[in-house]
Order: sequence, then structure tokens, then C-alpha cells
Amino acid sequence: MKITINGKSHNADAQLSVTELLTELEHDLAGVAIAVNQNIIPQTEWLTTLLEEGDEVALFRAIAGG
Amino acid sequence: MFKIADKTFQSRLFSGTGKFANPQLMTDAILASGTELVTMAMKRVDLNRSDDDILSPLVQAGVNLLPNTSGACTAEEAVFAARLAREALGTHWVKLEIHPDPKYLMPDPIETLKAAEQLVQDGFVVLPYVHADPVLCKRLEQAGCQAVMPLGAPIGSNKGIRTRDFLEIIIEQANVPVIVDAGIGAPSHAAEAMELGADAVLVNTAIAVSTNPVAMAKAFKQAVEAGRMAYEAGLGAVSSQAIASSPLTAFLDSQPEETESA
Repeated sequence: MKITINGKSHNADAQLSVTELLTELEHDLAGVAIAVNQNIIPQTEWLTTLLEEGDEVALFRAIAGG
Repeated sequence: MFKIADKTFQSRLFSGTGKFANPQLMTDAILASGTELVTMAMKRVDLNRSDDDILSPLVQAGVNLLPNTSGACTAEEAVFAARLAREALGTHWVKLEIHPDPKYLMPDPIETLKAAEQLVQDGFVVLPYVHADPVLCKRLEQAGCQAVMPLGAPIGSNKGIRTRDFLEIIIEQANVPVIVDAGIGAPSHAAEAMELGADAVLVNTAIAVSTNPVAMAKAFKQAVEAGRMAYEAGLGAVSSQAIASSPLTAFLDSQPEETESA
């Protein structure tokens, strides 16, 4: 299925959970926040939140700042 | 030692994490400063390149994390950023920062108050960054903010305490800690803010862009301590006239002539 991650198109398996997506992206699971269609998904729900066709995933992390 | 919400701090110097040449230097400077709280921003992950990891060294250093909402232009964006930060970092503390104008980075007072009200309701410990507006600071305090962060001068300008008269009013009237944030460019500026009675200062640029950030961090540490000590010791009154330090006597007074002994 096609989803977007931070604005870029991405092909993902159907019924992919947020956790699985992060693992697939080889991204650190720590210090990260995720929103799907502008809804922030709490870490406790990453395993159970399944992505759907057309979902807009936004991935955030902490960076240096004042 | 002072308290913000449920946390006690020994150090009255807070630090930013931005503008350092690399994470190691950032960590070294932060440790040298003695700070117990640092700020950071949230950003969309760039999957094509790995951003420097600043989180691990900071967690190792054992400092408190204060994410900011920098980048937000509206209350709605700031609330979203705060909630993202809460998820990512596991803290409900947030530095509320909304400055849409890129030239002067002046904080938007209306969006900030709106966002503060929502975030307090949502259980955040809100530290709002604002202009040194005594009325606004009082409104934010009444809205439930646990501290206020009025600016000394524009972010990164190193201009020092340009809002002195108004910081005095805010400090006099506040029932929450006052943290002077932005524009502090030299240890003397930090000492000045502390001598006015500020509870703490936040410094980023002045330390990070110094030729020797570790040494500068130490200098700021000492300045903040000195300024606070002076405030607590009690500064002398300011006078427009001179007030002599020793009695007003002429040095070579004309003495009565001594009579010769018979």
C-alpha cells in the first residue's frame, strides 16, 4: 500500500504497525514521536496501530535548539 | 536553590543545545556550565541523513530536558509540537516558544497566551518565552504557567539586558520564577539579570559561538553565582550625587599655633 512518510511516498506492506514501520526504516525507536494524519500516536499504541492506504505519517525527533 | 513546579534546582543557569560545533563540544560545555536543565527543539526526521544524536549524551549527563516549540507559528502548531515532544522525550515540561517573524524572532504574545492556556489544561508544566511585558507575564501566571521567561534582547543577538526596566517590574510582581531568556551575550549580562533579582537565566548562543565554549560556560556559571550572591547580599542604593566614603575633612587643616614652652 502507498503511504507518505514526512511528505515522501513510501510502499509499505498492508496491515503494517507503527512499530514495524520504524523497524523497517531502521530508525531508532527511542526519542521519536509519530503522528498519523496529524494524530499523535502514543508509544503505548505503536504495536497496535495499523497503517492504512494513503496514511500520512510524520516522524519527529529532538534536535539541538535554544 | 530554587523550585519550578515539582523540581528543585541548585544551578540558576539553564542552557540551550543549539549552535554548537558538534555534540561532544555541546556536552562538554553543558557539563562545564553546571546547568541542570537544557532546551532542545523538535523536527521532522530526515530519513536520508542521520541527524546528530543529542539526546543520548544529554540523558547520560543527567540534565533535565526542556523541549521547546520553536518553529511553531500559531498556538495550534505549538500545542502539537509540545505533545510530540512529550511523547518523544517522556517529559510534560515545555518551553512555549512562538515566533513567526524570522528577522527579529519576537514572540507572539496572543498565540503564546492561547497555547499556554491549552497546554496547562493538558497537564503540561509550561514555561512561556515572551517579551518583557509585565501584563502578559501576569496573565500567563494566572493561566497556570509555572514560570515566565521574558527576553533580555532578540534571540542570538548577544545585545544583553535591553529590557531592564520592565524585567524589574516583572520580577517585583511575579509569584512564579522569572527566567531571563534570550539576548544574554556575556557573563556580565547574566550577572546583571541575576542582580535584578531574576531567579535564573537561559543562555545558548553566547556559550555556543564562543571561541572556547567550555571556558565560556564556566565563566557564565561563575557570573550567575556572583549575580545571585550580590542580590541576596543586598546591593547598595543608587544615587545621582556623590556620597563620600570618608568624613569630609580638609587634608591639611590649619592647626592653632603651638605656644612655646617656657
